[in-house]
Amino acid sequence: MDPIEVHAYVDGELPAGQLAEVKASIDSSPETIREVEAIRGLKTMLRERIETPEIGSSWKSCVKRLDEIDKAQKVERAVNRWAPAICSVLFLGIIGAGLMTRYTHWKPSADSPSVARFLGFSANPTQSIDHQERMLKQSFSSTPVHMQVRGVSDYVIDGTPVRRFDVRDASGNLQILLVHEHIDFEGMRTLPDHLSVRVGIVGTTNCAARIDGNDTIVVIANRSYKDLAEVLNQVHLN
Amino acid sequence: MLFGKRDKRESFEREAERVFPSVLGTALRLTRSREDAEDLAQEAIVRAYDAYERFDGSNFKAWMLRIVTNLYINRYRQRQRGPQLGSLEDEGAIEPVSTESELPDRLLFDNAVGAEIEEALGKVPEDFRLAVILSDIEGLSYQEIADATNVPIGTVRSRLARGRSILRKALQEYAVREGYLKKGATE
Repeated sequence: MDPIEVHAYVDGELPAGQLAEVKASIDSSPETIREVEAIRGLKTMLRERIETPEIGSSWKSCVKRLDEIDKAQKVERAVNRWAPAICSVLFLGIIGAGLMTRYTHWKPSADSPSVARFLGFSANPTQSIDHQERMLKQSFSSTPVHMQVRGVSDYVIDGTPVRRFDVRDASGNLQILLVHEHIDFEGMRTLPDHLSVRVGIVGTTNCAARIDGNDTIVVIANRSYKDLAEVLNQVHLN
Repeated sequence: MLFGKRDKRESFEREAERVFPSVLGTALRLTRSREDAEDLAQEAIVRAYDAYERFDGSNFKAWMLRIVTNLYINRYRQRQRGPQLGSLEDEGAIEPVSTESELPDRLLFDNAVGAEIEEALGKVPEDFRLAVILSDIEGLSYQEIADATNVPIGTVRSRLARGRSILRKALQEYAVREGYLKKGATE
């Protein structure tokens, strides 16, 4: 007889249809009956003699671990619940801080109509580069290093001679106006660290201006006032 | 199962504490190391807690032992043993060779009475031992053992028969002395 079936019989794990047949086989064989008794004896011995281990501190460690998990989940739930609000506050904070910085350091100025009226002419790109650079050197004793002239034009606005330089430096394009009169700085303001410089807006572009002798030098570009003021401070008339 | 968060914790803790001796005992009999067994049991409790909402509510002990067994098979056994026992399924290849470290079972189980049995059990090849532990010590059905060990019921039946046979040979004298077997009741 298959010993595996004998074990299944002892364990009560035989299918109902097989039970009667196996039981009959066992009953007819003294050897198999002894085998059944031996298996039952072994099972009884294991049940009676094997003791459960002392769980003491192990269970306490488990409970402690469960507490930690609960705590972590609580924090996670709170974070999930408040995350959108926290993100919104942070986002608004960043935007607010940006606006504050801009307001504090780069307070927008009103349009500068007095500067704007001297614009409106494109610098002449057809002149030779040598001629343009000569005109630059003729006008200024110093300019920022690495400044390249891309166009120069002379014109007169309301009787005032104006020379306009379209130049390029490491940060990009900018215009320098040399206006042969003291411009009225209406709508412009001073910068804390550059008291001789006035800053404002021409159209949508920032500008910085400074009186130099009988002339006014104006620098116009899409840069911060501070950058424009630094460029302007490097430009000096002959 | 559906719980409120507090209910879940209370219900789980109550059930888990009740079956924890079986969880730790099984872990000890598998790892043969108190430290590894405590790690394994704790990890099983954490896994079970995490999955408690998916427990079908039938037999918590069988479910917990299934988690312990799977964890052991997937993690501890590979780390401890290297090659697996698959080849021992083959007829004729099964010999009660001890591949375990020789640990003093009195120290392992704080159990002077059953130490001889624990020692003999430790020498039964692992897959057979697992079947014997789950069936004869923990009282799981064949189907529950099959679920816990991820093998067909037929394999459970053969492993159990082989495991008991090996254990009986090893404990023959003890079992006769203690009156559990009649003298001459050999296979």
